[in-house]
Amino acid sequence: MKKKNGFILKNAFYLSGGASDWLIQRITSLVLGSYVLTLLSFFLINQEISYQVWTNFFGTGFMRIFTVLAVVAASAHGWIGMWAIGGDYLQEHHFGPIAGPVRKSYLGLCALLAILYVVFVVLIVWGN
Amino acid sequence: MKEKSRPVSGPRNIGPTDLLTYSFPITAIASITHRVAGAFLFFSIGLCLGVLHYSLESEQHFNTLIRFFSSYLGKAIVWVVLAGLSYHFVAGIKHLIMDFGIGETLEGGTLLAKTTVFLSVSLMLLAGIWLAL
Repeated sequence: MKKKNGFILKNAFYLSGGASDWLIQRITSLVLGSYVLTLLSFFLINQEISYQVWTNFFGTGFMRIFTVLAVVAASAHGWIGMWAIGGDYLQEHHFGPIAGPVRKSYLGLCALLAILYVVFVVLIVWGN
Repeated sequence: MKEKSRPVSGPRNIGPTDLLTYSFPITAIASITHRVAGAFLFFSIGLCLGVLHYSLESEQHFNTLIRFFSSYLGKAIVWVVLAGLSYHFVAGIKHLIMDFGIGETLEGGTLLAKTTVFLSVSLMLLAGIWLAL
C-alpha cells in the first residue's frame, strides 16, 4: 500500500512514461508549428532569395537558436511518435518470433537518427 | 438454440472476403495518415538538414540547390515533403483541439476528421500552385 502510494506520487512529480510523453508531444508540437510558420513567412515575404538574404536570415542569433530548438523538438517529437508506431505494429502477432529483434533494430535506428539530427544541426548552425 | 439473425453490433466472425469490402471509418483513416505522414517527416528531417548545410556552405552550392529545386524533380520532392507537413500539421491541430474535450463524440470526431482532410488537401493544392508559379 505504502509502495503503491509512493509510486503514484513519483509519477505525479516526474511525469514519467505516458504522461511526460503526452506533455512533451504537445510542447514540441507548438515549437515545431511556430518554426514551420516562421519559415513559411520567410519564403512568402522574400520571393527572390539570394545567398546573402539566406545566410543573413540563418545567421541571426534568433534563427540559430530557434533552428536548434526546432530540431531538438523534432527529434523528441519524432522519437515518441516512432516509438508509439513501433510498439503498435512491430509485435509478435505481426512478425512472430523475430518481432523482438525487428522492434529493437527499428528503435535503435530511430534513436540514432534522433541523436544525429541534433548533432548535425548544432554543427550546421555553429559550424559555418 | 441458434439465432436466425445476427445482432447489428457486437462480436461476430468474419471471413477473408469481408476484408475486401471492409472500409475503415474516416476517423481511423485520419489517424493512420497522421502516423504515416509523421514517420515520413521524421526521415525527411535528414534531407532538410542536408539541404540546409549545403545551402549555407557557399554561394556556389546555394545556387546549385536553387537550380535543382527549380527543376520538376526538385519541386516534386519539395511538394511531397510539404504535403506530408500539411497533413501532419492540420491533424496535429485537430489533436490539440480534441485535448480540450472538443469533438470526442462519434459525430464530432467524424466532422473533425473530415475537416482535417479538407483543410490539408486545400493546403497541398496551395503548396502545389505556389511551387508551380
